[in-house]
Amino acid sequence: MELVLKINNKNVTVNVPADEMLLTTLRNLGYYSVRCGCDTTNCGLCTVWVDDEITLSCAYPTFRAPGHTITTLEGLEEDATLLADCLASEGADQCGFCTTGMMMSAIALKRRNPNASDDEIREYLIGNLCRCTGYESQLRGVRKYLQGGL
Amino acid sequence: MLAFLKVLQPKTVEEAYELAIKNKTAPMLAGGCWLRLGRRTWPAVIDMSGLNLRYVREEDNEFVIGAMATQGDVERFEPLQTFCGGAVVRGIKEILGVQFRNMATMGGSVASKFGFSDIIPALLAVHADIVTYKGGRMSMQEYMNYREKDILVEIRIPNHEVPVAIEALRISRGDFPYLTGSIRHDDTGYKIYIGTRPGAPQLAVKASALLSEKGLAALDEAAQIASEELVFQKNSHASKEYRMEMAKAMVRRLVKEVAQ
Repeated sequence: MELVLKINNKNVTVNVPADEMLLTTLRNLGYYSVRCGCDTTNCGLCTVWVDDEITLSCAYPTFRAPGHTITTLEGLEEDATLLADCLASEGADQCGFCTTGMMMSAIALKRRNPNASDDEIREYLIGNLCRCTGYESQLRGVRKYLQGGL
Repeated sequence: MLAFLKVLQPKTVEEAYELAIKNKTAPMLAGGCWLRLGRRTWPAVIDMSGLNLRYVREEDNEFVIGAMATQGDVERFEPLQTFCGGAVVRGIKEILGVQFRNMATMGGSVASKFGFSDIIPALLAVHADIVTYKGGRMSMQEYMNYREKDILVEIRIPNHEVPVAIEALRISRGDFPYLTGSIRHDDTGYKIYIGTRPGAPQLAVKASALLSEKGLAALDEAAQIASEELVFQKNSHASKEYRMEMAKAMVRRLVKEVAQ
């Protein structure tokens, strides 16, 4: 299927099989911040924004993407830089594999609810699994980011 | 994985129905979250995203939820956050994470009639109706036994506040529940629904009748009857005996919650 996708405010034409998921399409286009973890809608590693809603790209068929705005971490450089510094300063960047997906959720949370409480942060990030940190350092890092940074 | 060779993209519900009749093995692709857990390659799927069924609104003293509205759409719809103690939204918020709920659709969640559904007990308790293309409007309880090939169009919930309580028991947050339940207390009495037995949610008829007749004085007896009149079985999440014991405790808690 030939499709025109809007990714990080750029139009990109792709030719994909009918059952290709957005995760595969994005990685084939070089958007390597989007990662494959469980591939069964559980871990949150593949989180991207579809029209500003956090979405699991491993289960989002690419054929549904035309007409929607797709955003990856590559398109959020300024926020990503600040958030990465906050996470690093709190020791929340251990193996780092889950970090990019979690950052997509945290940046979305800031836009939706910049004054989120700790409980609201936990609730919003519950779909992003991490096997290293125990989540406390991530909570501190995201809290710091919501409060404006370092 | 979600594998298919061809995607059929109807633009109307009528067209989707005709495609479903013509392509009997083709699954209807709503959110796709559960289809993804299968291993089969489908010759074709019917994409439901072009049918303009993604809406949540208030209309004629009812809440109307289109089949393609996501769980997230419903969760964020303010009037439902407080309706009947927020029962429907509370049922949804237990389901995995925000990303998942932004994809999983209400129609897909209801039409699948999963035994482990968090949403169906809540919809039963608020007396939701289901509207299908061919079968028309029917109660949620009727829909649970409806077996015709059809297209679920929308869910309609009467905007009528009554005491409702829901509960889902799980081993850990984010897991499937091993027992779900809901209760409604209106001027006709109590209605107790128990799901994830692991079968789909059902009305505990005898327990509900006893509680309606004798009130809280019969609470323990009603809880015992509820655990005996429905079929409980074991699966990987809980044994039959554990489910039966927990059903008693759950019924007692639900009744106390609506009584407050």
